[in-house]
Amino acid sequence: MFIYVIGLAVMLGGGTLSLLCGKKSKAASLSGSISLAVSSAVLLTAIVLDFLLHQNSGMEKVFQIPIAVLGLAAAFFSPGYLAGHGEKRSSYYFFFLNLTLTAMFTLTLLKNPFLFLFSWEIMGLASAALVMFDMHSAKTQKAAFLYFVACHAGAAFLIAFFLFPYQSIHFALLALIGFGLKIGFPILHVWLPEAHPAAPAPVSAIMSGAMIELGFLGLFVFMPNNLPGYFAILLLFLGLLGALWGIIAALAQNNLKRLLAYSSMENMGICSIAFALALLAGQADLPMMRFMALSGAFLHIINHAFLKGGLFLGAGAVLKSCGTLEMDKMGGLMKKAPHTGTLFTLNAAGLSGLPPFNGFISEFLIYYAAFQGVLYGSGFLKALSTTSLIVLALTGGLAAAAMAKTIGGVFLGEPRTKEAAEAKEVTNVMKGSMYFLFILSLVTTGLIPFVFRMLSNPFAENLYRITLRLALFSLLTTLFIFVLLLLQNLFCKGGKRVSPTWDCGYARPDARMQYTPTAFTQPLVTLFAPVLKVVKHLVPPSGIFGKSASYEEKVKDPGMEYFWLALSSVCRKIADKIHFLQSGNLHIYIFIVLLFLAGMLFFAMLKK
Amino acid sequence: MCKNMDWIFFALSTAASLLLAPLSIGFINKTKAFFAGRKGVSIFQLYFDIFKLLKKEHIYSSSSTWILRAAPLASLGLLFGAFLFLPQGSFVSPLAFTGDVIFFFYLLGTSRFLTVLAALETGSSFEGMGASREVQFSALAEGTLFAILACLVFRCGEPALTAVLSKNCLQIQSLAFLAPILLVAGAFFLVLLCENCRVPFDDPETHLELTMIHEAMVLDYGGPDLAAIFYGAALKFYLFASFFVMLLMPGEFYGTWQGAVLSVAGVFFVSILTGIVESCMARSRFLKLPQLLTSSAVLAVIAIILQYFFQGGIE
Repeated sequence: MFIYVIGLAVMLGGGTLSLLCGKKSKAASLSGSISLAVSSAVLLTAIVLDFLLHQNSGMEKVFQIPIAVLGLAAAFFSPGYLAGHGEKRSSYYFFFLNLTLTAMFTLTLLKNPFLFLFSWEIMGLASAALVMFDMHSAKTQKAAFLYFVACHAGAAFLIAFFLFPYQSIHFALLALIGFGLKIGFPILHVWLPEAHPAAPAPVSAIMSGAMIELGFLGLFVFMPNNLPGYFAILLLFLGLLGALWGIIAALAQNNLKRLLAYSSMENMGICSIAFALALLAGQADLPMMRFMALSGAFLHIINHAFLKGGLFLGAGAVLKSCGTLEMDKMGGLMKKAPHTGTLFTLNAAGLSGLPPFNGFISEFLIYYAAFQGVLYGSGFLKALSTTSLIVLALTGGLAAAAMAKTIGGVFLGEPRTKEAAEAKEVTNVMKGSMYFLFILSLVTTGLIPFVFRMLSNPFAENLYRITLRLALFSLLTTLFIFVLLLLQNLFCKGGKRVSPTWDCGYARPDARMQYTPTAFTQPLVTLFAPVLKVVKHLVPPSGIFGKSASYEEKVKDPGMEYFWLALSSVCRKIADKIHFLQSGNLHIYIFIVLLFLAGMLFFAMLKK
Repeated sequence: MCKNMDWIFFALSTAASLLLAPLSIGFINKTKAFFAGRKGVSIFQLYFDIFKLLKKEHIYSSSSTWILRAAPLASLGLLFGAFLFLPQGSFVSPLAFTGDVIFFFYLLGTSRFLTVLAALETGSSFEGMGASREVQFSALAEGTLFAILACLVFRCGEPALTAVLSKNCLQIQSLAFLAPILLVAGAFFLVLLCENCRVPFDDPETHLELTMIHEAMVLDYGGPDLAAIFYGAALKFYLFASFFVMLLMPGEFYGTWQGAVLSVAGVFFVSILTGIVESCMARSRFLKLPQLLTSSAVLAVIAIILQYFFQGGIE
């Protein structure tokens, strides 16, 4: 515990020092990043030591590891990222970054509702300041405001929840909404796709990889033990809907970071499915399934932190190298920035849950848990597990499609614009922090079996065997592929030739002829058009020799369009109707107050 | 039977399957030639093609990097990996473990993902088009596939390939108990046609790039890479076909030499069946394909409900 306090003090102290440096941006960035790196490393060591020496395997570790790891990566990535992107405000940036991370880590150590809420609010406010970093853009201001409102609405629900502790088990719903706003449950998710693209890349990485998951921590710590029976089913429903909605919306995005934000919503949906399956298994007295689902969910949180962190840093690197996040304006970056490209590709494959990368193991455990539900559950649980299986599989397939879209659009093919053609690789330090995350994700794959071995749960032994097999087979498959490639190099003596892409006899293949990311997912977007709000703008070529034509497609979030905006227009109509009350006469106001108090009096008497 | 013998049998039958895989494509083509009233190419044609291609030079698109170069062999390697988990000619794989059924289908998924990326790497509009279609249909097929698995796993009591494929017990007397497995087999056959790019999903013999899916994705390959892709396609077909055959093979044949012969013969029977399907119908419009896949998912879900019903899962 003591070592945690030291780590957090260094983090906060470094942040404050950075703020004090003010205009001296070099010093600010140096003190901020060094203190962040040192404190994150200290915290990470403390977590590992705590686990190894004290056998302390509390579930808060699952949430602490992403914070420390992403903090470390952000410490190295940020100075390079800020160079040329508002480095003058380094002091401001590092102060709030360190403050956010401190608040996040403190949260995981707290059990007291008041202190928890206090930290929760600091985290929300400090991160809202970070989302505001690029403050001169109107879009960012809007996004930060939305995030700010979402944070506070969530806090309001949480305060209501903490004020009436355990009066009725149905109050758990308040917490579900309050924490759900952070996690990004469907409809409550609308701030996610706005705030993530607006924030600086390392901040998006932390918010997506470590912060939204804290909602699950909150649910874990403060949920009463006697949850109402419908709670697990509600959580499962939210998870299923969130996973599908997130990935379908992700498919339709053209902004790289927006797409990644929706993919976070999908992954949180998968985690919710796993947690709900664990709850259902607990109710049905299936300890093995419960353990599997829980392990799957926790592992998925860690995997998602590494992979999505890597992807957001990659997106930041892309923004640095070609100055835009619009995927339709990129292409061919793999040649200009091979390290970023390769890492992004591998991370994206991992996030789609494809073996031999680490994302697969957590998805495997969740699938396995669902299969257990199919086998041993009651009729109702069987039906729910089957639905989860089908939705998980569909989500997996669509996630692969979305990731293929990003990789293909950003890194493969030919550059579509001049900026993309002149893109450059980012600095070595920035590359290093991306490598750090990726290597860590690979190491996790290898370490997971042994972590299971150390757990005292009776089912951990079983999971140790399964995950060890998966890790080994993944390794062997990879080695086998390398051997095949080596053999090909040795024995295929036909020689090699490089020539332009074949394009049906066309004389000059051109970048404009290749498929754009929008075109790539157009069939899927059309297929799901009934649930997406697609705004199309088509100017067809006119005349016999039509020359100019354009097509623009914008996909709006159905949650925003059909729920929140509709709700706000209803509220506005009601407000218009009762506007006459606002007459400006003080005595009428006092009369209204009197009426209200009298009403409350009646209410109190009726209750008695 | 002692453990070592199992290894040997498995290795032998795997080797035999790996050798026989291109023959399955040969059978399809021969059937189609027969229906068209042609003499057709030899059923060994794919072997000749592969040998010829292996001797030729590699051609890489100038737009490409490591992905295009590594993809053909890497996806073949992943298919090999998946192949090793499949009970071969009714001999249990020594690698099999509970849950391998998920690993099996996800390895196939990675292999497809690589092919898609390599196609996008060329920057060709045809290949982009093919890749776009591939991800669309395979994502939908994935949903069906896991619905099928849910039914099979419930029926056989374990999420393992060996159990799923060996305990399917057509020998159970009740006709009603037979219905789910027949529905599942029907749904799986549609997935097989979709995943292997066969009519009505894709026409491997079309000569217009605009109408292709898989063929459009591999336009830019030549030489040994193309050989790997041809062989990979044959292997994938063999993989799905033997899954299908073992789904329907009566349980008592399992683990016997008759079973081994039957499963290989069954694969060629599936080839002929596919050839007949291809001869009798045209490729569907791409806009219609999601409907076809969704209906296969519906078949699988009906199978699940029936299965739950018969096994007393629904109170």
